[in-house]
Amino acid sequence: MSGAATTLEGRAPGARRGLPGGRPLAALFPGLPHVLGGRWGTGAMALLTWVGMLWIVLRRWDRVVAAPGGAWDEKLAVATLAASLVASWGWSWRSVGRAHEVRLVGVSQWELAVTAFAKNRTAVAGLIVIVGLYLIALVTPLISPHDPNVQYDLQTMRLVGMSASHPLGTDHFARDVLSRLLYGARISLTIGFVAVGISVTIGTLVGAIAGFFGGLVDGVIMRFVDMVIAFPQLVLLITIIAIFEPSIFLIVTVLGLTLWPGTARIVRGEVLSLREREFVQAAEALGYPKRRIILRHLIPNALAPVIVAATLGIGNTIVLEAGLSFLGLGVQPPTASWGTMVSVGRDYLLDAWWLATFPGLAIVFTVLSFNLVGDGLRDALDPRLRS
Amino acid sequence: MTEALLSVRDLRTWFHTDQGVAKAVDGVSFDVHPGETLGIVGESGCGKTVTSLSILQLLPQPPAKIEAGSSIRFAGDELVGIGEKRMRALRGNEIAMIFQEPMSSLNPVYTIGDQIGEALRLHRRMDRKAARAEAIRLLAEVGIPEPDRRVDEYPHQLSGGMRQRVMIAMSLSCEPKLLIADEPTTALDVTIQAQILELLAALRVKHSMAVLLITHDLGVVAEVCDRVVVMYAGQVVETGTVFEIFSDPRHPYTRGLLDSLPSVDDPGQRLVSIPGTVPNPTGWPAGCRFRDRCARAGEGCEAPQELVALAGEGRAARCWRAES
Repeated sequence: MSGAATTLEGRAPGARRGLPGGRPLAALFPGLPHVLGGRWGTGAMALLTWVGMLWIVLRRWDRVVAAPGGAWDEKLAVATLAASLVASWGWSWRSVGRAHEVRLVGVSQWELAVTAFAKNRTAVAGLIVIVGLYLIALVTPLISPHDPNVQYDLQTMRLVGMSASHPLGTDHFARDVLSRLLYGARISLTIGFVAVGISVTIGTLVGAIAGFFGGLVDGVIMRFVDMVIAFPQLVLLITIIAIFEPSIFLIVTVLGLTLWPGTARIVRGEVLSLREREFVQAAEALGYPKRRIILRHLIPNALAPVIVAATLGIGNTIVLEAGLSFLGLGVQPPTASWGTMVSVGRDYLLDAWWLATFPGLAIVFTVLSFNLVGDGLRDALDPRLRS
Repeated sequence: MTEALLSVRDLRTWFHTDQGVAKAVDGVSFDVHPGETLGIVGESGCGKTVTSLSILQLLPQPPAKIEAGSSIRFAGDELVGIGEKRMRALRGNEIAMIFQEPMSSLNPVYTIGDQIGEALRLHRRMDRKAARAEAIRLLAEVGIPEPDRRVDEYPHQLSGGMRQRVMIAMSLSCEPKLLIADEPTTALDVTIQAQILELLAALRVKHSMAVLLITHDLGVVAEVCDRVVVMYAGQVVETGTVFEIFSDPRHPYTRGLLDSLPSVDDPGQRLVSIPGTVPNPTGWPAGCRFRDRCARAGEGCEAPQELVALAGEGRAARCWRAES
């Protein structure tokens, strides 16, 4: 009980008493009451989402109307738009209404971790950036000022600096850099997310099986893991991509299938120590099947370090993809990706600095945000590091 | 006497390790009758816990191995070699177990209602709603106040005594015939210990189940057990009713355990202890295994000791001097 009580005391003062402005303000500007009341993290996220999405609706109304009948990414963009508007407004409305309630029963360890995470300002800032990036990537077809692959007049519009119609200038094929940056975000973020998703799923299952069964099973699996880790990853990637046609699908698959051993090791270590805990023995004494013990009792308890590793892993994967694209082995032209944009921009670094600078900055900020969130998650999920 | 519910005969559980064969349990026999409480007493390292885990076959095999010739009969069925699948059907349903450390015996990521409900849904095929109602009823039965509120709490929000009550509720969920309690009160405050023991005794009568209580605490034994098995170095060294064991211990080890209890009658007395520790199970001493620590060791103790049957039903001691 003491844990729950200190958590509530530890909240920002006033956070659980009424929020300034109350429901009328929440209805107009979702999240603003929270920002004013001291819960700036979630509040800012809701407010920024609301304002940003409203801006899209007002400025790009023609595209929003046309999108439902368009390509799949335009449909997805409109769905995202609607969902974010409903979510930010609805969350704010409900949250303001329930601000007085003090909950003492049923506070899980995850909720305690969320509270701890919310106190870490840099991590929350990183999370806001990441959520914003993913939202922007999803609604890109609605906001990008130009078609990313359209070449304007090569004689007059090539390598033109920043202007009103081309806020980040144009590249060597007279394409709009901002639009390419926006579309490139979709590639980088998707590759990071999907590749890490694949590797975490495989790694968690393999690691949990190795740790649970131990003995010969563990020996065979972990020697295989050692083998995969020992193999130079970049060489493997370059070889596979050189044999097959480079494509986003191939890169995601190869990255996903080579990054899992790290997760497997983490999970195995966790499971080995959890296995000795009495609740696992108790589950066995209650006659639960092995599959159930692994999936329902071991893996959820081993997940905290995996989440941290996955968050940091997304950052690493984005860098890795950028590196591959830089080498010309990643996403192939004309598809925009941050890596290829930096690679091309390198040739024009002295004439057109904006070509390499903006995608470079995008990579740095994205990876930095993921690392900040990863660090914050590690602190929040490890009770020993919680202050 | 009625037929035994659990009948362990010549149980030998050996660990085959690189350091040699550890004969943690080396020829143990005892019976648990329906509805009775049998206490297994002994120091740490004498094989009590391995005995209980062998009954449920929860030991990792290898390195552990229940050696050929061992027999564990439960309600007429032989459990040794029964196979994992049929054993799993017995665990929880027919034989339940509660553990020493209530701090770690509940899964930290689920509410206690989820955890009791999981057992109910798996073993008694209840749906989510019925399982929740039954979980609340069970929590009330084990004496948890405000069960409809507590059911949504997580283990870290409960005290040690509360958690042990939740464990008991979980083990009761399928109305087992036998409850194995491995040092259920060791990690608890003395006042809570008494409450948990009373609860176990009351539930035993109410559900007419047998309890196999494993403990090193003779005070606990005196309070709740009907009969006692004293173990030392992987063997049974003395058996008898609680009254017989306390009033007339025949094995020097039992006597030593009783002497090391503080006495209320004579407060100024110095506490007596048994010198030395339990020897290493990879190499039990030849002859009487207690000889090195025994005050009465002498001629006749070099030979391996057999259980000597004594007057009284099921009464025996592993000492050639037991009858004198």
